[in-house]
Amino acid sequence: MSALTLRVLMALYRATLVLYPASFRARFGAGMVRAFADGVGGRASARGAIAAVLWAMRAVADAIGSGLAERRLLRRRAAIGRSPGPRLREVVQDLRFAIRQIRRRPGLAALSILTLGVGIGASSAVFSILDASLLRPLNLPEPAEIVTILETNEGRPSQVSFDNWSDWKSQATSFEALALLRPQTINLTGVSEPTPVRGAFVAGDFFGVAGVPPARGRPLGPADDRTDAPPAVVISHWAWQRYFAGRDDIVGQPIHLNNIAFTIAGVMPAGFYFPYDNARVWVPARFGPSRLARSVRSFVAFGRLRDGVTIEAARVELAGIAASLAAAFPGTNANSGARIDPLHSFLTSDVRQPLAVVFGLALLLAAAACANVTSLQLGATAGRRSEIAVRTALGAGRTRIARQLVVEHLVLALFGGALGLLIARQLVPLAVAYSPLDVFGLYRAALDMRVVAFAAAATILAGLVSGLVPAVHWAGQPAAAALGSGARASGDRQLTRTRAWLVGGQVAMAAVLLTAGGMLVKSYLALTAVAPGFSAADQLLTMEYRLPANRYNTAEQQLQFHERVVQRIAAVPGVRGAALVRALPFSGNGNVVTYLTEEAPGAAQRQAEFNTISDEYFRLMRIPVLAGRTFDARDRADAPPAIVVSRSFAEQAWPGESALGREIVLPGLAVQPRVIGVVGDVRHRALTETTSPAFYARTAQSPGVFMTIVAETIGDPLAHRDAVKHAVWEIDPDQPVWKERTLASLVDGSVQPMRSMFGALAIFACAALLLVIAGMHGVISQSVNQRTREIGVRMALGADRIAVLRDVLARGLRLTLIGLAVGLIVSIWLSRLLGDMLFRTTPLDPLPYAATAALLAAIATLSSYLPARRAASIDPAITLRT
Amino acid sequence: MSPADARHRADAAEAPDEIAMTPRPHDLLPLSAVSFEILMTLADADAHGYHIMQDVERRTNGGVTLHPGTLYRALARLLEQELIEELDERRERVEDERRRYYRLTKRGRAVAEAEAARLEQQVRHARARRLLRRQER
Repeated sequence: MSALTLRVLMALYRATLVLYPASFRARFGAGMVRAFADGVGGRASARGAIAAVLWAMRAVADAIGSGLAERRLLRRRAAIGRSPGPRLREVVQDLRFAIRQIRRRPGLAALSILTLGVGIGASSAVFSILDASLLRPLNLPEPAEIVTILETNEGRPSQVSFDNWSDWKSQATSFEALALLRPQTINLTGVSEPTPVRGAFVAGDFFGVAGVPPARGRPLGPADDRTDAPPAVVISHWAWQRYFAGRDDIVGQPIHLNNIAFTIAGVMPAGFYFPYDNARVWVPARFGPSRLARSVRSFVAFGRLRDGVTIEAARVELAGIAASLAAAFPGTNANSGARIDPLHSFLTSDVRQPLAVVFGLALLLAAAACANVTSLQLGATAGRRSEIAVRTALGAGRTRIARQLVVEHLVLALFGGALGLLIARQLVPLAVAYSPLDVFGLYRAALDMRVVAFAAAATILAGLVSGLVPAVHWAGQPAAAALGSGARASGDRQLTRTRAWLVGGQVAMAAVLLTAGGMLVKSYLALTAVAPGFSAADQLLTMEYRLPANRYNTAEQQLQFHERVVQRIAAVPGVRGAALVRALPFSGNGNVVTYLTEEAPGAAQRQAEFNTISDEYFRLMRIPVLAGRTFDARDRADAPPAIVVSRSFAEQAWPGESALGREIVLPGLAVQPRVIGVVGDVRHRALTETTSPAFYARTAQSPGVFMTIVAETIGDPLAHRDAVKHAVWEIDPDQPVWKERTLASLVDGSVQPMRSMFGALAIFACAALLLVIAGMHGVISQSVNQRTREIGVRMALGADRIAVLRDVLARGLRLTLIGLAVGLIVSIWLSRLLGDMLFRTTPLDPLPYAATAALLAAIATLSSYLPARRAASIDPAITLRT
Repeated sequence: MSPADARHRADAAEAPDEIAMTPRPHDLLPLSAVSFEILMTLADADAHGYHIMQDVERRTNGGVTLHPGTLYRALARLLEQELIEELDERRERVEDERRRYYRLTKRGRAVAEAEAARLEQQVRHARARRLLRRQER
């Protein structure tokens, strides 16, 4: 053997010594190397070089194996030395044992982990949205001090007028700051091309209420509301970056909004969200579209409570001020009051209930998943009877065995929880993307520590609950029973009984999910069946524009523009007809006004939606004319004012009489308008509206700066949007046009929240049904297995197959009926919570309950059918021989 | 919990440490095959590692081949159990300067004898059940 070969082998062997613990290497390393060298040398001289190399290779392998073994030994000893007492060592043993048990049944473990993962994942995802919207405080200083103030009319909330707000401000002492807000799209000009931006018209100490100072410059304040103050605005961080490239000298720069030159007074910091999350620029209210009068209610008021002032105290004070205003201004304030809500609850008032319901149902699904896993594992522990019996006989206490089982389930749950977090991580962005836009705070939803903590709590709870059931079961078993076969049969039966209870519970939970889902489906179907009163067919293209008031400051100028728009668009190829309307149904725009039917003291004040339209509007929208006529060229600007009223307006104002030729009284108007026609009712804000009093004026007699284009197109409406926009730009190239969308999409968007709810619930209900199928099948199979002998005897004694089949099916059905009874009772009790979300469906509507009962009974029968058929095919001869 | 666990726990709780640390010879039985071979080699004379390897191989006609890794792990255990000891003084021969010699302790001899007796009894029983032919000479 060459010296080189020997040197290589020696180097290799020395290298393997690295695997040994350092202490071992120091003590024996030299001896080992020496023995290795001697061994190689001895082999080489006795049997030749090849034998020597083979031996050396085996020695290297041997050294690697023993090195690792030695290291493991050392680590184990160190661990024992470190453990503070036998308890921890036992827990470590329990953990190791648990992992061994899980690995022994990988299929069962995977199923359990998947089930728990789905349950924990779904509830964690819903929790993250609930947390972002409802639980986490607003990201503003002292958010609990901020309140929203609305006026009320006969108790119903309405928006706030500038003058009433001014009087609150000068008289109330409860508030540190008060502000008004009207969000509105504003035309930004002078920056490359005219752009509509989300803006907000504000008055008072808006930024003082928010409690956030600008990052640069100064905020807007009460001084900016004075008519002689220089026009100043505050812009958002986003607008600063987007339109001014983040330039340093931004404060003092000019900015043109709605064709008015403003000076930028300040820039808000990034992430400033108050109260909504999309304002880019804040402009003093005196530059806004609303007349700052007592009769025009178009603002929302916000206030920050003074330190130590409770919201109740503020309510009492404001109620007093509102009462004195009602006495002082009976014409506008007769039935007016004021209403104060905490800002957070105001922002989330619409979503509070749906979110809570979805979260509750997600928790229910998680509970059903937990019950299913418990039942699965309990079924599997039947096979571990002898193992547990031996351990009991050898002196393991009941608590030790119980603890072992709980640890096993905790480990399973831990994997399930980890999977759940992975699932939630996929679900949260999906939920954010597909959720209706008006869930406040959705932008904050993320898989943060709070969600992880929730998932961890759910995991531990699931592990404890699903582990305690088998633990209690086994702890209750007499030790000797496990070994004797007679006692074993009774123990097995008890096990099956426990599982049956669990399956019954799952049926109950599924019943609750299904009835809730059924009610929402019924509501959804009822809602989509509602006729909005106009044609929502996908043929109408709509878009909005707002004329700059300083360029079109007379009614003639405005009217001229509007008329040219209609003419131009009607001439666009592919457009069948064009019309204008101020507030398109379902667009979120609207204008509720107060009117009287006669000019007399104490006459009833009523409210109705007021809209301005061009002549073709009713025809394009397919709104039927029920009496009289619609507008035409006779209703010129200088003709007597004419209005068309809706059917419910006519019924409200002149019940049982003809509306034609009647006059209504609008406060502040010199000549009272006369009714020339009656048209069909239109749902203006939501399909759920119960009554829709509305009246219309002709554009010629009531122009204005804001209009919505309605164009009937041939084929896909959105394909024509550029042509329609260009028609507007032919009249005025600087006029921005926005919100190009179809009328159908607006109506569809209004049922979107319910569809989202419905989608989430459908997924939950399907998952719950799968769990019921699995659980039912498992427990009936087990009971058939246990009763094989009994069934065999019965069949030997003459029972026919049908009887056996019926007997097993009846067992499954009995379980279902008990679960169903409990589930339906709980549903009836819980259904009140759905209250406001239901439409034309009452919580006690029998249909969803009946459908749930029928579906679950069918599912249960099907899932016990397979084991039942197996029972019926038992051959008594074979069964009895074994 | 296994019975071994139960005993271990009782020991730890009730018995003084040194008794728990040095078990009686019989508690170490049965010895592993490798340990018993090493003890048998050292029963003749003190030996160093390579010597033990050679002796075992020769004695078993190549049936047991000890590699240094396995050998020194076994030596480490036997040293811990005080069945063998390491000799401090070096042998006179120069080439042996890096070799460590190992010697059987009294306790080691007792354990080896107990193991041999145990094996002998097993062999006797095996014979009585005709599992092993009596060697005829």
